[in-house]
Amino acid sequence: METAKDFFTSSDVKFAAIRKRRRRTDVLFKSLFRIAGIVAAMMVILIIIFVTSRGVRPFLGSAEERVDLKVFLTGSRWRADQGIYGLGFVIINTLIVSVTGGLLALPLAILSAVLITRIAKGKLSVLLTTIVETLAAIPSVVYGVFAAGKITVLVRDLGNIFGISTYGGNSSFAVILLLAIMTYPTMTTLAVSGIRAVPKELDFASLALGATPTQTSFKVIVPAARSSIATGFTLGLGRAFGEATAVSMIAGNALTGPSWNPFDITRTLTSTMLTGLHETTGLDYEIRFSVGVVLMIVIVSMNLLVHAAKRRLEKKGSAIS
Amino acid sequence: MASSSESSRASRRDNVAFALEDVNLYYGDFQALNDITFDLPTHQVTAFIGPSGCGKSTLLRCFNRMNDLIDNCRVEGAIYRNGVDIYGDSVDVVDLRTHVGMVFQQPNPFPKSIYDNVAYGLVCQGVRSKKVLDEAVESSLKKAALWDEVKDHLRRDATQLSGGQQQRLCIARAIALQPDVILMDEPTSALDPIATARIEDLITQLKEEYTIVIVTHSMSQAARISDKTAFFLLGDLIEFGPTDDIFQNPRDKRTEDYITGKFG
Amino acid sequence: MTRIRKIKDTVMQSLTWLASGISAWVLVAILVFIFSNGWKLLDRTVLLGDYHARNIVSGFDDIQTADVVFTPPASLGDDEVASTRYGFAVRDEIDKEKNHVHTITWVDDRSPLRNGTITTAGPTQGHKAPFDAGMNINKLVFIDASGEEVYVGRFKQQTPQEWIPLLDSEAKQIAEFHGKVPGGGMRGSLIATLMLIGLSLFFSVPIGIFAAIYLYAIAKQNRLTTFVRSSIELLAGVPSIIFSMMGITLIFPIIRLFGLSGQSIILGSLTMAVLLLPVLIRQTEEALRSVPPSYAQASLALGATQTETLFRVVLPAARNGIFSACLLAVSRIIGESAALIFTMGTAIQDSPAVTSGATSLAVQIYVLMGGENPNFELASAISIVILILVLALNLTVKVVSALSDKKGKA
Repeated sequence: METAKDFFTSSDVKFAAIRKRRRRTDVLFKSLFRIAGIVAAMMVILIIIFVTSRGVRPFLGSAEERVDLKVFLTGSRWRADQGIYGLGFVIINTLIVSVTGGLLALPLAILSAVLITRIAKGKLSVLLTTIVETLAAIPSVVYGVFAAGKITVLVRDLGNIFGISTYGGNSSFAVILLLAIMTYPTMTTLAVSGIRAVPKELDFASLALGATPTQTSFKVIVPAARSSIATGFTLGLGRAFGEATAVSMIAGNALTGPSWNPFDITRTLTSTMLTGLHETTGLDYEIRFSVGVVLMIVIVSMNLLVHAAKRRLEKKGSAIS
Repeated sequence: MASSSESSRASRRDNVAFALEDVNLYYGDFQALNDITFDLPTHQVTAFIGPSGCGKSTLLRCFNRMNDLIDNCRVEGAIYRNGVDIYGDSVDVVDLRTHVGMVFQQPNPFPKSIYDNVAYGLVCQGVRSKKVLDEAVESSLKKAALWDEVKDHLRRDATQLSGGQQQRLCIARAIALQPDVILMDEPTSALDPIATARIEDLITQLKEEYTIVIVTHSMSQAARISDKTAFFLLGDLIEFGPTDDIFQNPRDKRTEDYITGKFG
Repeated sequence: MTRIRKIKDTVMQSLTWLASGISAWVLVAILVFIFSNGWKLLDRTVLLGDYHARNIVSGFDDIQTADVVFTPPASLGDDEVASTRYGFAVRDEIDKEKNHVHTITWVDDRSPLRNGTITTAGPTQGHKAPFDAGMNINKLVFIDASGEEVYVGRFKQQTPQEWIPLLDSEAKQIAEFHGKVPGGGMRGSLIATLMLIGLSLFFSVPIGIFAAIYLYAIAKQNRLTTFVRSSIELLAGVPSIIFSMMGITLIFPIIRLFGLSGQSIILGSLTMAVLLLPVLIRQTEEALRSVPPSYAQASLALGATQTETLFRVVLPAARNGIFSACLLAVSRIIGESAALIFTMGTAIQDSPAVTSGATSLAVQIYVLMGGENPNFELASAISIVILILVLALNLTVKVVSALSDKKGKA
């Protein structure tokens, strides 16, 4: 023991140098890890600061190039050609199509999750999960191609049945269907993992009380998984609000609004940011950053809203029965 | 050994809740219960005792067929209730479970209100009348000796109750369906001594109305509250009889060894 | 069980089947639509060809009107006309603009027409001119026995059945070839996508892994860590179009310091690098956490420093998970469009460069779908490529994790 200790504490210059280098490397890398973590964490703040500071410029510029903030937030016309930038109706349209799409997808997601976790067994359950995962993996441009080629045609034909003429099917309704399809996989995945996390004991308790397996699923298990389901709904809505390329292919880019007719063309925050991008400069380009700021605000408010609703739901304990 | 017809006749007698006949149970290739045959009396507390893995909980779960939920579990033999084999083809499992209640080791209230927990079974049965449900909730909570503690906040989340209260709620929840039998799988093992004492008091009160089968690890608990005791070992029923006889004067050497603490 | 209960149960169960049925039907409808529109188009020229059509005018200095007689392959169809003296065959086709074109369907390797050089002024003047299957022949100029130039081809409204025999019998020497390399390919976007993948991973993988290590090994249970975690969580919820704007407002000024201006693949990949951080960090941290702590303890007990332990023991043990994280990142890059539209632009390039703008495959689809007449066929063909790549990557991730699960159990 003594000799070993001597060896390690020896004043051998070379050995001490190695130890020093090792310690220095250790300290260096630890600070690199820390910097990487903090840089990653800073990004979201930097995004907010930089996009916002660019986005407020159109409201502060010289009188000639200035956009009135009140008109911007409440306006019902978006005419870049006339220098009129009223985003109010676009905000309302975005809320309508995103929330409706999300609400359409939610029950389907819950029902599918129940089938996957509690009714289907073995290979069938795997197959159904694979379908959901595949839908989640399809990039949004591909959804866009499908929406422009199939969903719009469906909406147009449906409009024809009711004698409503559409702009080739480009409409709020088409966007709603698209967003329902695109948010479904997120919501289903979260609902599945929520249901899987419900303790087995609740299952047994319900069955032992003479409830059928189906009653157990819908009266006990799904309500017990409501927190995950709510999270899935929020994530899905976030995707719906932020979805850009696919939506802009079928929104139709209405110039005025809001329109309450589902077969009418619409305009969302994201489609406003993308439309005509390649041939624009000046104010019409800059204003897109302001729209981006509004998009961020809408998403954050929606998150807070759902979060508050979730809190209230949990506090009340059992609004659901 | 009694013949099948005799046994089914016996099970119709008023004082038999379950008549078991050559019950064998397998988990895959493993046999967990061997040829269990005995009559379980009504309106008494019957305790199942034995070391871990002796099959006592497994047998308990046969009475309401909760073993059906285990994939590779297979039951042979017959368990007669009111003259009908509950493992027969015509038996509706869901219906059976409304008549045979169960209370689990860990209190497992639903994350719903106290009221909704107690009303749950009836709601599943299709009862919608507020009056009927209110009455059932009140009388069940009273029978479970929980009413006084919770009557002012029936809408509160049941998971916020203490462990002992939760377990009494689970008993109330089972009682609400007016079952004949209540199965209890180590109902006090997760509770403190005071809560345990309250549940034990409750069990002795409840036997007036219900047949109670309780699986317990605590010999003293079996001795305190049960009328009949069954001792199991490695899937065999070693001895079954009045609790006093089993504890004071066991006929089998293995029973004696277990009770005196030679193994456990 | 009462009748009503049975009916209710059946209804609810049917609804679950209906819901999943709808999702399965949607998936099948998407695949059928994309494949039926794009599959017939998807061949070598579309996959590896230019997007922009290119006119070729080539001259021939010294043509040995060879004595060789070329034998066209037996597989030529009735509508293809072959020149046995010059070793090629053409077919009269209708192109996307509904015009007649004479498309080369076969060229013999020794065909003298392959020896032309480009004569049009410009950077490619003097280069070897292409003469390949898939190109269109508009005009051929040859010199006949009397030394006169003769013009033949589609531009004179001749059919191949008319001008090819003329060429074979009259020509003494070929003077000029006017043709077109048809566009509508995706090679440029494919290359740009590969560049984007390489650069994005180069920028983001080190930061992602280091940040994951920070959260796994260095960060203590305190407010700072909570802040870091929730910030990264928030970053995952930022829509990709906002990342696009971040690229313009935050990253663009930085790379301008290095002399880069305007939209470029570099700007796109730096933007993607930020977008990928949450995915990389989350997956990598999960992979690190799945390494048994006993490994690290053993290494530390042997006198290794924490950094040495991480690099020599923990990271190698987590390599499958980190590899999967990178594959998921690649899949995300391939599918991403909104984050790139602002930062890389929407101009399709046939020869992309990292310092200038270009489109990835996904953005090319977006561009093709814009405008009055969306090009569904090409958009669908590119979608097939994207789908195959993305689904293959996801499948690989599944296989990798299944394999390491198996290994973990054994």
